Amino acid sequence: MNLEQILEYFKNEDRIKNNITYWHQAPAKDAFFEEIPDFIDERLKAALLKRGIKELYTHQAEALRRVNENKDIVVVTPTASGKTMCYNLPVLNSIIRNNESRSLFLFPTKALSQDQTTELHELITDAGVDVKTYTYDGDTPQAARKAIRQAGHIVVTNPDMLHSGILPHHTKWTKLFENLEFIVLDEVHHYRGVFGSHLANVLRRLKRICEFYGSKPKFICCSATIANPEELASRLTGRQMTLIDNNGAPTGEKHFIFYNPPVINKELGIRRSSTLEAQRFAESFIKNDIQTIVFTRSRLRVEVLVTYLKEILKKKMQNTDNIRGYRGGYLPTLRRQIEKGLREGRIKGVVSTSALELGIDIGSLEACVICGYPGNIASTWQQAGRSGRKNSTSAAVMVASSSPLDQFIINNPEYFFGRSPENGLINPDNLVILYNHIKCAAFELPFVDGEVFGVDTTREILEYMEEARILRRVGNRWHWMSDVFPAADISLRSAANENFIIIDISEPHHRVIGEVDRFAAPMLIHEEAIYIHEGIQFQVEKLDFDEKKAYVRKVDVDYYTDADLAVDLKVIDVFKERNGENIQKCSGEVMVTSKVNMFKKIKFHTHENIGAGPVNLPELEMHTTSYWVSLPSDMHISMTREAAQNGLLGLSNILANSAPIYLMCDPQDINVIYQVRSTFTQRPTIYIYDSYPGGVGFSDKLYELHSELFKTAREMIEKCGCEAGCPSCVGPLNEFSGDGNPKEITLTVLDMILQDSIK
Amino acid sequence: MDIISKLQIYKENRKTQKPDEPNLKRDVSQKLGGTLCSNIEGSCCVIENVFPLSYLHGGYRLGDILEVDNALLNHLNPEASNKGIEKFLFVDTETTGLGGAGTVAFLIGVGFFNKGSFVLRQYFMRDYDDEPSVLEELNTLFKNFCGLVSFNGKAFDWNLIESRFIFNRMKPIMKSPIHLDLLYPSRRIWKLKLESCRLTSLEENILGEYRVNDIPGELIPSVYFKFLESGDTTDIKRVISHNRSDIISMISLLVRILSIVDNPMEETDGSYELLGAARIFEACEEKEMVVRCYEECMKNDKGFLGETAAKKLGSMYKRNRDYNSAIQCWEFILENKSAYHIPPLIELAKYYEHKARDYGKALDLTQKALDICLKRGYINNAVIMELRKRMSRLMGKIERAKNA
Repeated sequence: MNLEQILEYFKNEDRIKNNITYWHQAPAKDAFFEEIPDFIDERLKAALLKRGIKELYTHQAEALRRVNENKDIVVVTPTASGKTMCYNLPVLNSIIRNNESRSLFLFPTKALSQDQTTELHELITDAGVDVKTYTYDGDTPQAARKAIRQAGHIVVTNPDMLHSGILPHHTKWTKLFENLEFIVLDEVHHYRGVFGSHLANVLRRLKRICEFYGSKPKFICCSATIANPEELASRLTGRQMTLIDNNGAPTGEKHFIFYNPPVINKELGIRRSSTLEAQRFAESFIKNDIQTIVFTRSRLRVEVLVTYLKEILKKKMQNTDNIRGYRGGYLPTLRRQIEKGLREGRIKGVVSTSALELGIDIGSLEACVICGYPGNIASTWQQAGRSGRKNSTSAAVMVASSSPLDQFIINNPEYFFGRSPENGLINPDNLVILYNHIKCAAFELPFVDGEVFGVDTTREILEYMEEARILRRVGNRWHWMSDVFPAADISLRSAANENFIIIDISEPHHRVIGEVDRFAAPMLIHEEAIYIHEGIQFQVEKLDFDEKKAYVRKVDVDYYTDADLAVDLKVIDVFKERNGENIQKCSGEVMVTSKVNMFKKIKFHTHENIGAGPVNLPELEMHTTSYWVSLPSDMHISMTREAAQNGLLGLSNILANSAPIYLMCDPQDINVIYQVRSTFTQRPTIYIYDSYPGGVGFSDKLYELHSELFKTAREMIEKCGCEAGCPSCVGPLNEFSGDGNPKEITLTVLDMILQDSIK
Repeated sequence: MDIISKLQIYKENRKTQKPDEPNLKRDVSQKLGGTLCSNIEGSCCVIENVFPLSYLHGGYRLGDILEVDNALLNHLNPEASNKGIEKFLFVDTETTGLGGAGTVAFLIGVGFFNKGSFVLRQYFMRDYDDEPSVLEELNTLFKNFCGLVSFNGKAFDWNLIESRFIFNRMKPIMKSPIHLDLLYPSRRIWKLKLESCRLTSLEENILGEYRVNDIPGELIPSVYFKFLESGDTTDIKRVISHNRSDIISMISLLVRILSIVDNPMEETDGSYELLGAARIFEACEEKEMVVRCYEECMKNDKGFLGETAAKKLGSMYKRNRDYNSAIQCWEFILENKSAYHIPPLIELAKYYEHKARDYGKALDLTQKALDICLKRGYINNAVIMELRKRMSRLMGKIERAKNA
């Protein structure tokens, strides 16, 4: 069967069609062209012609014109619309005109940088011009670095390297900074939350250094579709942006199917597993030779799905090597190999985390299966965009899990299709982040009286640093007065900057097979954990926490492991507070400590719990911001203590899923915990805190949203079809103790909050 | 909540009340025994000491360096061979950190020979704003010199000075100085002999000089920060004398190195230093001297030293296709009881297989090497694989030779 026939089959087969909640069909779209602008050098035109490009898509031509008018631009068009031309052409054109001109390309990951230089090199070779392009990142050999600093016309790097390897050593990069003409920021939508807030500050530092050397570079930004690309790009760069979104690239017909797995236990509200349903869709595509990508939400599920798919397709295909996994933690060479396999069509199916959502070039696939709502609209479109060809039909299927957020989206398709995707939120003035970057900036160049770094309170912060003996004020300048190298202590992506490596000791010759970040390590690679890599199971024999190494050995067992995380939270300071008759809402600073104490062994397919074991690892601490709501201290008198606890649990579960709808963040960006009697408020309290040190402003927003948040939670519970509670609303029944109806008790607690005068 | 209280939650606590800052700048120069020096960029403190050529240090007179043949300098840098040592500036810096734009050199010591004496000048930043003036002074001085003598100055001190010029939007007059960086030749000569090749270790072990009340290098940044805050010059004086000692030691060290390359047979200890000297000659391709040094080592010692020399010499001969001499070197190693036999056995086996085409002898040697490996308990490593492969190939060749 070809894709059209398979879609026809989906439409007619009862088992499938009954569970489809929405079928979106986008018609094919023709290309819109414009002539290549005159100011583009003939050699570049010739190089384009060599590739069969006689004209440009409308958005490409407009980008060139705007850049030529000295505008800072942000280009927003779908995946595979030829965005890279929007920056490669102006940059090359300016270097051809002026050999001294320099440009800096920033990509969020090393993998993307590699990809882009390859493409750029091809264009340069075709044009027969002498433009030196180099990647400068952690993998660049020491010996090559000097030449790159001196001679590179285009330096391709990532924010982390710019932050710790380039800016603090700007005196070695004079050629670049004196002549910097363009700063290219691709995948701008990726710079949200903490990472984006950091990058905005790194760019503030970059602009400061450019000013010192007398250059004023222009920004060329590219983004996937989000609600506020202009705003995000301008908050990142601190410049007014010109938006370019008149996409001229053609697309073939495209189907987007929403699929809700059938309920298999009405009382418990349990639906068929989304993983198994996604696997069925993937199976029917792949066995018909349709190149397919499957997105799942966790690394673990990538491995589980690859295992299942290989097992099933073994009967139908001689070779299951063309079904692969792809996720963070695979080593770069392996990733390159898989990407290449996809481009060349050798790999028929790939199961990935959001890692492949970024613009890594894997060609265009025919079908895409999204297992579980990715958490926000922008990501979903990005993933669905991985399937889609210029002149043939493509399809994307989204399979909902039973999580409340998934259920909300799958049953309210108008929310998804009707509404523009989320805003990319950043908070460059997050005090922790800002403070750290002011340190770095002061190290790079002394601050001068009156200088503003992002905030008007710059001077107060500098004075604070002076009192802390980090800076010294002489005359009107503030000098760095410390022997530490500040950028080394600041990671742009998370609180921890060191990864754990995983070493396979099954063979006498040990080899490193992957890595895990510090915060995930206690969950994934504690001793006795089953670590699945490329569909092969390994058991962790020894975890050397100090050396950050896990030693694993191949095993063949019918279970996987799942660790239990115990979390404790202490309030450090209250920023905002309001008291009503019965309840109190607050936002403030908290210290969260987390520790893994035990793990469970879970059997494949049936998912039963078949054993457990202890985990002995140190606890991790995080300082962040939180929003919390306290209920009356006598709440457990008006209901039983057990009921009170059940109510708080149910409410926590539903909040964890309703809050992201308003925050436009991924569910894992926030955490919810409750305390029956908080040591701080002495009252039953529910906390929602940012998963990032220092917070990125979610808790502040929740404090404002307060009543809307609880209203939505109430709606979600009411609309759920289950009787007493299920994973789609207040949580699975087995989490609750005693009798009583968890759904009802949660509603009672909710109403206490909603009836209060605090809004 | 105001920003300062917020910062206190997140950040390092502020230290105690800042002391009233005395107006130090005026009398710092005096306290340090220096003078105030002014130029268009401002002013800074200069401490000058003039040493007579007869000044003794590390077993040499400072003036000894002036009697050394200038041509010998080419062992340290080929560009330096036709220059006199008077054209070089000795330099050493004391800094506030290990690098990056936020590190400054608050004390830059320079020394040069002038009219029958050695002039040692130290430029000191009384505060951050003295820096441009220090650099301006340096620039005036740079005009008279073509290169620098330093200890790790090529990678560190000069790099930092250059970076400070850029940072202050100034241009150093000396563009690309000829470096006589003593770290590299010192490592070549003394790496095998000494545990550490840091300057203080060389001073103690090679020059026989011991410092009294020296300040450990890692404390230097904090001494400077403390001085900036309190104006107390006690420890800064220790830093200044530390810097001075470093520069004086460079002179003696340079004499020592040059006399070794001038006459290795007499000037070295005949063992590890001699081996080290050979490495210097190797680096500047003085083959004859290399051979002489290595042969002397082989004569003097049949243990590790002689073997190392034989191994080096063996591969040099092999590169020059002088197989007869190479064989002698390899056999020298094999005659040794304590020796690590495998590499020379393999080399010999290669020679007999590919050059002499004596497959029987090659097979014997391979077998011997393999036996040693197995005795040592190697099972699966690359060497064994290689030996096994060689063995089966040799057996094939012997078989074919029989049939032919």
